[in-house]
Amino acid sequence: MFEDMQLFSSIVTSIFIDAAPFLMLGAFLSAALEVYLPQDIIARYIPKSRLSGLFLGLSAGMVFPTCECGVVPVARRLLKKGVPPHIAITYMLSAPVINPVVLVSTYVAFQGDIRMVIGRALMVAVPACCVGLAVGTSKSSLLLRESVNDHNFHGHDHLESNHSHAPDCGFDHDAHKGSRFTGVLLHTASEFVEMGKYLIMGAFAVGLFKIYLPQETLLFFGNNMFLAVGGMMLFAVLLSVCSMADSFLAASLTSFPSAAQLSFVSIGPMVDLKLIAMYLAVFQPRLVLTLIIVPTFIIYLISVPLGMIFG
Amino acid sequence: MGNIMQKIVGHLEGLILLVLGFYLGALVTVGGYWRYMNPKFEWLTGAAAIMFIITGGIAVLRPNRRANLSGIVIFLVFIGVAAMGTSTALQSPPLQPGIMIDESDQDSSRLTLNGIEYIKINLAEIYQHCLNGEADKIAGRYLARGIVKRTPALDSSGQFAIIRTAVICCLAHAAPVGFRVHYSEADEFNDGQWVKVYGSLKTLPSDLPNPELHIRGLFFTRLNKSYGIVPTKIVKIPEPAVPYIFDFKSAEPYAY
Repeated sequence: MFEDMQLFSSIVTSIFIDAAPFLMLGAFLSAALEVYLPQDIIARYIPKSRLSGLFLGLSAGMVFPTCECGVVPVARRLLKKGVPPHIAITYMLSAPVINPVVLVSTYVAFQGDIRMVIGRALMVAVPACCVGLAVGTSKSSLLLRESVNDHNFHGHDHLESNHSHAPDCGFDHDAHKGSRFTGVLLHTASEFVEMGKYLIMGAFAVGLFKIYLPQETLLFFGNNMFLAVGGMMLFAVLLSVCSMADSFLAASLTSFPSAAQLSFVSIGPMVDLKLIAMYLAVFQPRLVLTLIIVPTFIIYLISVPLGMIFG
Repeated sequence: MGNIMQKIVGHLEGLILLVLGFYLGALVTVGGYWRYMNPKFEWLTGAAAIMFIITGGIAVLRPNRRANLSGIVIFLVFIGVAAMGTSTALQSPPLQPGIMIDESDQDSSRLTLNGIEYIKINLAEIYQHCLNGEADKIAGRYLARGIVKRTPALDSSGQFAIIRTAVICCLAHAAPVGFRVHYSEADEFNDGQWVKVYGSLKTLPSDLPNPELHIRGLFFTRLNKSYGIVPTKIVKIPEPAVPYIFDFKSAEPYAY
């Protein structure tokens, strides 16, 4: 029992240490967007056409690389700032994979097999665009949950020098007397605690799975393409491996077909235990279901035929 | 919540970030970081620690009056869970490049035994050569370290497994890698015994059953299916100060 607790402590702590810098970066970016990005800039520069918007969402990760832990608060802030959902949601789902760091790590992990890199990028891009198109131009208020933290930020634009606060807005107004950068740091702290609790809950769940889930279950899935793909996707969700490292794990599972490895590295950055907890905190239940179901089905439906044809 | 309570909760939010910042900073500077993460990410955690301290410090001075109580409770539980392993971690030695088991290992990338030269290498590095099918590397004579894993299936075929855990990013996502060692006197070694194995690689028959090795808390234990080690000598050793593999090289000098 004591050994289990020590092991649980090690797993949970190591997941937190692994993810914390990225979540902090995401919280900081989110806070900087809140304080420094005026809404009229967004309205002026965001592409009007849906197709260009999707392309922007897909490619933004190449400029702002982030892993799945940090991208959720950024997407929330973009939505609250008026970025159309098809761009923000497409960015949220694709940026953890379609970014230079993860693409290079995939290339290295699969020993220069460019097909795995392209396959992974496409396998993520397709569901990201589908979800982006599905949410379309819905109003952000219909997609986002109203949380306690939203009152802290209460959506005001910090660039406006004459902005006024409601008397009970909750945020420390003295902070605003300092520099706007102080405001960014205060928002960062608040955002980190808000999102970090879901990271911790996800890490607790992963810790329990890693200690108590019988490892034989993995072997059960290996021999049949339908089960291999499904099993690897399930493991990706349960183990919640960071998108920067998952390809090394997948590449080593040589007993699984390439299509199953591809499904493992594609679903994890879009749907895992940490992310589900964060989605539930940030988005309305209907969108959460879409974020879970659409990528899962699409990746499964692409991977199985791919596996049947190419192995 | 009353005003005073809200203020206390606001201060707590900042304090939690401060505590986490100092905790991460201590792991990076005092030692024990490698118990959770691959040390190549120390700079990243160090940078995060600085951000935690700055944001936490400001949040303590200017408390958020709508601080999230549930978040604070969950963070406090996490700090309690992390504290269970902290004393052990902080007492661990800081990682130095190429920590070796005995002094004789430290001199060069090769070691001579009975007139034969062995290349010092770690199990993940040999595994990678086998995966890449690098014939010249596979033909080498190697010295590698790991723990003995025994199962009835391996025992009955005159083998045991030598395994070592490779940590790419964090311990939660680590993967043990290893090889079968052809040795009919496996009873000499208990499960979990650390050993040094001198030997060379030999092709395995393709129909060998999977011995289903499990290491608690770690998934995806990988025992090479194509090659096994034929030992010329096996030496029992104490558990190394740093048991994990963090570094992977594709040529000499290997990380060992």
